[in-house]
Order: sequence, then structure tokens, then C-alpha cells
Amino acid sequence: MLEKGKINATEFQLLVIVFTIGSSVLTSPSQVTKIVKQDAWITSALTVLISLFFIYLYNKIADLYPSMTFIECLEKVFGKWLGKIAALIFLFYLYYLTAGVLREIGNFFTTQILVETPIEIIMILFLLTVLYGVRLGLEVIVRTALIFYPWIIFLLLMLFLFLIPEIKLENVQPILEAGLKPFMKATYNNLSIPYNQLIILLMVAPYVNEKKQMKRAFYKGTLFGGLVITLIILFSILVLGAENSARQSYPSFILGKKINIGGFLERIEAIVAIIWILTVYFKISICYYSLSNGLANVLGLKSHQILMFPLFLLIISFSIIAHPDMVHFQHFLAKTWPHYSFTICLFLPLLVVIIGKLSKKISAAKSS
Amino acid sequence: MWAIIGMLTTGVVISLFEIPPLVKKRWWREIIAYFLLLSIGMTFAVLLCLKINIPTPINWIEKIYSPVTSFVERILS
Repeated sequence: MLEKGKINATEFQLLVIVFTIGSSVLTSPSQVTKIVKQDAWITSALTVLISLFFIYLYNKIADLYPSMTFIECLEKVFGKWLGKIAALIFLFYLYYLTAGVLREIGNFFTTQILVETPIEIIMILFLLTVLYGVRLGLEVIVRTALIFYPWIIFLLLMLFLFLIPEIKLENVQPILEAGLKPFMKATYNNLSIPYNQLIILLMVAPYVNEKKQMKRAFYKGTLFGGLVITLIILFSILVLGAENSARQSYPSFILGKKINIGGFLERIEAIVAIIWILTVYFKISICYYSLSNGLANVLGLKSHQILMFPLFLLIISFSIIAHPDMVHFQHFLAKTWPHYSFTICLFLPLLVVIIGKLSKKISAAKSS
Repeated sequence: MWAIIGMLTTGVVISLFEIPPLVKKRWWREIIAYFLLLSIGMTFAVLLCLKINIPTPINWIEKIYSPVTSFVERILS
């Protein structure tokens, strides 16, 4: 065990919620509305329900190997060398995800808030705070999430409340116009943006000390996070209209600009930015933590804190190298990312569950 | 130029903090892993500072998945 800290089920649920909301609260409205227009909120609600099957699968893995992180599971199931290769493939996914989310922060800041600051500076500053949290360990990250969680909920509530006067109901009509195929495509794409990334929480799951409640917490957290994202999508369609939200790269940020209470409370888009920065901070922290923990496991090290500074450089440089520009990024996200994400987050765990169950049965048959 | 110098000094200073406790504990494996990763990261960072174009692995992933991508595009559109 590389981590000595323990967390309980409620804190695990917070991590799931924050992980689901982080990064998708800003980007997923435009990606979904691009495909299905005003029906995006139905797609999103459907996606949350489908994602429960994924959670079922991940809970099965946590059941099979309760005291192992996902990387250790891979080595246990596939044997030493094949397991290490599978673990490296998974780690590359994690590495890309960390760098990609970091790049999203950079893109957002350089296009919307700090227009003249170089993107590298923003990413370095952000990752430095993450590095500080991650070095202090899992418990510290979770406690920080516990402190900021009420703020996230409060700001979300404020955003939704203030937007109610701006709603135009005719924006969601006609309902179910899109047709079956775009519907399926949007659901497929939407599944890969936050929901099947939740497999990364299997890297944290062995450190949860209440195993029974953990499974319920996993379901509940996903449902709640999904509800928030669905509401955000619904509101951006209701307020901005489907065409307009599809055209913006950050519709929920524009949503904040629309708030106007009696000509007095105006332009509080910073609310959305704060929600997003807080949730994304925890998302990157979890990814970064899992990355260094997993890598230390693959290399067979006794401590993973030592890998954090080299990983800092690697993540920063990869987030710049990976995509030369934003068009490349958006293209990859829309076209290839869903398939890539599905191979890592569906087929790999499926294989683990099947082989794990078989080998348990065989060893039980041998011993009897 | 200054960016490269600054980065290299940061690397050296942080290594001075990180490495001595490991040497005391004789954790050689950790030291090797640390320097390996650090040198890869430094190389990337220096190449970026010199504005040398590095081919992205994302294009390879796109190539690997291109049959799947075109198949799904054909079915769902």
C-alpha cells in the first residue's frame, strides 16, 4: 500500500460528485447541443442512467479485489508482464486526461478571462497548487473538497435561481425532434466525457474504509453529479437557445452573463468560473494522484511522492505538445476520444471482471 | 534562453531537496526512476522552449482508431 490515509464513504461520494461536475460543467453543453439541438437535456438525463451500468461494473471490480487499486488489479489478473503493459496503457490514458483537462483550463482562461497571459503561465500556476495538494496526500485532498463542497453547491443554486427569470420555454420545443441516430451518437459521446472516466476513482476506492456504503456512495455521487450537468445543459438551452449554445465553446459561462436581477445584479459570470475552477481542481488532483500512485506501482517503488515533481514537468509539456491548437483539440474530442475512452474504460474493466471471476472460480475448485 | 536556465535551476534545486533522504534510505530504484522521468520531462520542456516541433502521440491514436471512427460515422449519421 502506497497510501496510508483512509477516507470514509461520504467523502468518497463528494469526490465522485466533484469529479463528475469538474470540466464537463463548462464544455459538455456545447458538445451535446451540437448534435441533438434542443433535446440535449434528454440525452444527458439518459446518459446518467446508462452510466449507472458502468458504475455497476466498477463496483464489481471493487468487490473482486477490495484492497487493490485498479493498477494492482490489472497486474493480478493479467499476470506480471501483460499486466504491466495493460497498466501502462491505462496510465497513458490517465496522463492524457490530466494534460487534457489542464489544457482546457488554459484554453478557457486565455480566451475568456486573462486574454493576454501566456497559456503556459496559467497552466503552471494551476498545476503548482494541484502539486502542493497532491503531495500532502489523499486525505488532504478529500478534506479540502469537504471544505469547498458547500460553496460549490451554494454557487450552483445561486446560478440556477437567478436564471429562472430568463427562461424562455419555447426554446426547448419541439421536443424529440432530433431522431434516433443523432440521439445515439450524442449519448455515446456524452458517456465518454465525464461518466466513464469515473473508473479513475477505482484508484482511490481501496482507501475507503466503509466498503458497503462505498458502493451506494458511488451510485449516489454519479446520479447527483449527472443531475447537475443535466440541469446546466437544460438551463443553457432554456436561456440561450439550442443554436446559440451549440455555437459557443463555453455556453454555461455565457449563461452567467445573462443574469440580470432588476438592473442591479448583473454580469456575475465569475460564479460559473469559480464553480468550474474548484471542481476542476479536484478532478486534476485525483488524476494526478492516481497517475503517480499507479506509476509507482508499475515501477515497484516504495513511495510515490518522489515521482510528483518529474510528473509535473511531463504533464505541463504534454498538455502543450498534445494539441497544437484548439481546433485539433475539439476535433479529437468529438471524433476519436469516445472510442478511445470506451476501450480503456469499458473493455479493460470487462476483461478484468471476466478473468478475475474465472480465476477465482478455478482456485475455489482446486482448493475444494 | 532564460526560461531554459530557470527551469534547469529549479530542477537542480528540487533534486537537492528530494534526493538526499533517498540516498540515506538506499532506495536506489526510486532514484533511478526519479532521474529517468526528470530527464524525459526536462528534454520535452527544453525542446518546447526552443520551439522545436514535437510530433504528438495523439495523431497516432487518431490513426489507430480511424477505422472505428469512420465506421461509427457511417452508422450514426
